Amino acid sequence: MNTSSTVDKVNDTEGSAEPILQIRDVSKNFGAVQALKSVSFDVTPGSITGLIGDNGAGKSTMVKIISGVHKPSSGSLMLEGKPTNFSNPGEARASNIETVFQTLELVEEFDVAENFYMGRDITFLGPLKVNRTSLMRSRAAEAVGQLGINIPGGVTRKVRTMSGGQRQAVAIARAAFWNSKVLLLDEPTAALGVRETEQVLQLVEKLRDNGAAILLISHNMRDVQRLCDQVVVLRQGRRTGFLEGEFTGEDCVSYITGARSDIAEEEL
Amino acid sequence: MSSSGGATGFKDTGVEASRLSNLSDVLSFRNAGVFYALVTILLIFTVWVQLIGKNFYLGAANVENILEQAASPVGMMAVGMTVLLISGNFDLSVASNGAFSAMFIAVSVEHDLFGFIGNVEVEVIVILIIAILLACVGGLINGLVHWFVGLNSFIVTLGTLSAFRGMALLISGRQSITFRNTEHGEFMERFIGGDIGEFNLFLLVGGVLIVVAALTFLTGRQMAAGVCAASGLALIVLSFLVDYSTEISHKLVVLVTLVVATWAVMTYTSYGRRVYAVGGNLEAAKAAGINVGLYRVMCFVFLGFCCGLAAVTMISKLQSVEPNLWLTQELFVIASAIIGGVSLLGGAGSVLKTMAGAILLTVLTNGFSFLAFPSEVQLIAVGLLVILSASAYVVAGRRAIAKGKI
Repeated sequence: MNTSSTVDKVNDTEGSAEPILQIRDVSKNFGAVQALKSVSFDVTPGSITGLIGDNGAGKSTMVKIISGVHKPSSGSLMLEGKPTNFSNPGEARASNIETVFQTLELVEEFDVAENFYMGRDITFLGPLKVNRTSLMRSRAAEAVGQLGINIPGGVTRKVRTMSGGQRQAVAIARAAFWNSKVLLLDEPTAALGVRETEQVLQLVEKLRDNGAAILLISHNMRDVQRLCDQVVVLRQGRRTGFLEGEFTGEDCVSYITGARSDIAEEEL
Repeated sequence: MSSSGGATGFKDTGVEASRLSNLSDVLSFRNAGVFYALVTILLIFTVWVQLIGKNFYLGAANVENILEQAASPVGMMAVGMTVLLISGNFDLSVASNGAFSAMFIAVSVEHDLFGFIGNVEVEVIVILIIAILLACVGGLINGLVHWFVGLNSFIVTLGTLSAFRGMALLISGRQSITFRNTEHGEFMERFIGGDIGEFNLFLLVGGVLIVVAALTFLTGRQMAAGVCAASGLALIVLSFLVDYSTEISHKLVVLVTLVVATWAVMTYTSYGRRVYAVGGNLEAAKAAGINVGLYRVMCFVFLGFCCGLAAVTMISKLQSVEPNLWLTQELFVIASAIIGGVSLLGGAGSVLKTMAGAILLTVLTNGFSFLAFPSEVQLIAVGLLVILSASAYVVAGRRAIAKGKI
């Protein structure tokens, strides 16, 4: 693979794995507002990268750029060493970058299997496109079983009848199901109870162990500290901090609030 | 298409468990309430009519009457309305759209607009096809304005409700048109306005159920297919024991074909599931790569197509149109869907249940006529039924949530 002797090494992750997604000097303006300013970081298979920051720090903008909703004003995204340029979310998904937004984007009247295959049904009889319902169900059931997600009623249970944690698990499992190489999780444990949070965290760890490259956006410092191998801190659209190895929630908070910063205050 | 799961047989017990519980869900009031209501009302009328000493209410002749009344325009339009409501939209202009289409047929025949073709049969077929296409264009206009301008479909179709009616008045010169006993009229009657012959109703319904069972089996839902096939076979056996025969009209054949085909597409094909997805969660459907604009607009066009079919079947039989044709019928079309449990928010509903709703409405008016109730009482009853049934769905839904069942 042709990775980047020219690009400076940003996340020094002990050289264990090649980064699959490299964000390089990405900036984004909305008119006069500079939402992101020259932000760089890497996402590596089998590890979880945290993206944290206060409200308005630019996290959501970064997620939208990686998932193809927005285009960067300048800078580049490199997927497996190749520069990529997504003009819509479909292209990002086709390149195996799946995003689980906070809204989850599940259809409540659909069961688990239908949500898994929404828009990508397996069909037969050519242009008649008759769904192979039981095949899709058994595949979805297999994927759900492999991830250790316990949903009473199985894959034919409607999402409408599920708890918040179960919905979150279904949305994450769906993203993982489509062979995603890069998984973006936007606040997966916000609004979940303690037990449900634990289940979702275990699911995320399982996906990491399966080799997914995960970018986790979170406000919950306990989750970040437990899950993340490295953490990128955004403040006022700049990357003001980078943590890896042993770090505490307080370290994260001090970077988020600006008490500590890799960039001098006057440069912000 | 790629997926991480390999092709394997069933191994998840959850699938099997939920299949068993499906039967009680299928029979629950929330799911099958409209069928229970229909049976209840039929029983009430049967007993009532018997008590005052009139003919058997459920006699073949009256059942035929009910089905004929339910079929058009309300039944046919309600099929398209159900699909449109599932996609998350609404259409008030259906009756006006159908009336314009019917008026086009009448004007074309009266003024011999297609006389240059020189063959009556070809002329009629061309006129009918153009009439259906015009109704589709009506739906297309609604859909395009809704999608590209971003206007709420209620407002768009409130406008076209008036505009299409105005166009019908315009092309007719505000006159009623009758073309009975003309060459065109006679061919139209033979072609689509008449009967296909006398059939045993049990045999017919049984046959439809067997077709449904076959479709269901193909998609791998063995249990549902089994239930369907068993009841179909039972009806076919019954048909040899009981003579329950009546004239079946072309109109009814068109309606039954439309209902079964629409139901099959909505339930078993990727196209249908996408309509449910678009209505259920627009943003999720977009994120899943579904062309939501196309699907939303096509649902309007399909409803237009149903209005065109209603116009063609109606005029072929009656052979006359008045400019105020079907005035306020759109309300009964929407009422059928609501009684059938279609959600006005989109994403849920079934064509079969809407049909039960349309038949229920017809039974109500038919039964009160049988009992010689005045029409004002019928209107009040229809109004109460709409509110009652919608309330019942809401209450049943709340109960199910409270029980943690859904």
